[in-house]
Amino acid sequence: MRFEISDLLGGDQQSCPEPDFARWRSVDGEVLTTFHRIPDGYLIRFKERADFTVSLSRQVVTCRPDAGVSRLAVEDLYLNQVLPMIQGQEGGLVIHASAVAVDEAVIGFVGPTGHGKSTLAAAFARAGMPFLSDDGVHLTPDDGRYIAAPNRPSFRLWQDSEAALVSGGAPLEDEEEQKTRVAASDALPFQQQPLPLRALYFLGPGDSLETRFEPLRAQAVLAELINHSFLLDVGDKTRLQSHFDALAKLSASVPAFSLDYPRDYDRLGDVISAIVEHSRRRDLIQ
Amino acid sequence: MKLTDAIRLSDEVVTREVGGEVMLLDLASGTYFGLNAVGGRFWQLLEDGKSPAEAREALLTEYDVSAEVLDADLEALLQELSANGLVQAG
Repeated sequence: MRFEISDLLGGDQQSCPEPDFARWRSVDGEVLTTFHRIPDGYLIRFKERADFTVSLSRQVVTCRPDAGVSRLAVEDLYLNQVLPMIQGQEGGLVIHASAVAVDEAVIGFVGPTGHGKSTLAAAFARAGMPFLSDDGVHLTPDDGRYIAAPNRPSFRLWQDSEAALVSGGAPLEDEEEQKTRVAASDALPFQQQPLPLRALYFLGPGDSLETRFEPLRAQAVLAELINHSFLLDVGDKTRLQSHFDALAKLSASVPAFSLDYPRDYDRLGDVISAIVEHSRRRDLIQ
Repeated sequence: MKLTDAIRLSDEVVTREVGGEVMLLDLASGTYFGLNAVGGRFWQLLEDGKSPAEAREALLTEYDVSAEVLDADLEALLQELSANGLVQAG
């Protein structure tokens, strides 16, 4: 897939001639993203940020940013949102998760934005366990198991997380939403080779005073993965059905747990230790 | 919609069993529904061509449940399935 940023920088979003067929909303109900079918593919509109025109036949994505939106922000949208949706549309399985390597296997942390996926992965990396991704994990079935592929060798962290975890690491650039992108380094190692997926942890909101794990039923895992996986055209019934099949198989075969812990930087070390210990429990995870 | 009604299942529904429970995907709306064990078995019986009344009789023999409780649960489920377009009268 080729990615191009239009020369028409600094414009405002024009009305789209085609009605949207899907919308993403914030928890407050505000429409954040709309999806439109256009003659050669799709238009994905991130409100007041950028339009992405996707041509699957030509394998080209063209972005037209709104005024004041940085190139780095546009690349984040492309790599973290648009590309995973395209990969999903083309038959790939990409889940909205961060991932780290422990004992030559991968554990993934699934959850909505703001639940701590990136911070947790960065804390693992700082403790010497390399990260594969801070936001999206591509999984490939392989003889009854799933192989997790490394994604981008950088983190996009809230500034307080960056300050607490990176401590002196050089941010690439300040961005919108008070987030900073931090590159992998010797202090924050990146896992460059794919590894088998061992378990998935679904992050709670941080209400727990202690680190808590609960096994999840496969049906609950499937329901969560439906909400935390990427697919561009949910109106494409053939693709939707095969996506559903793939998620059902993943749900039935990978150990999965809910995970909640206090969101306290001073206690992250204990949280990491508890997760590592849990992931090594052979009575729970084969 | 009642258990004595004849119904048709939507052609747009895809079913998958995961961990002994059933998930339905409505391709028409892109909406997913989870059914508990009894609800999932009820749906499977309907898929096999049973009427709601026949499925109810089968469930009474398969589960340790009173007819009153089962009838109330199944009628509520039928109402929900109907409201979401997963089953229609007929």
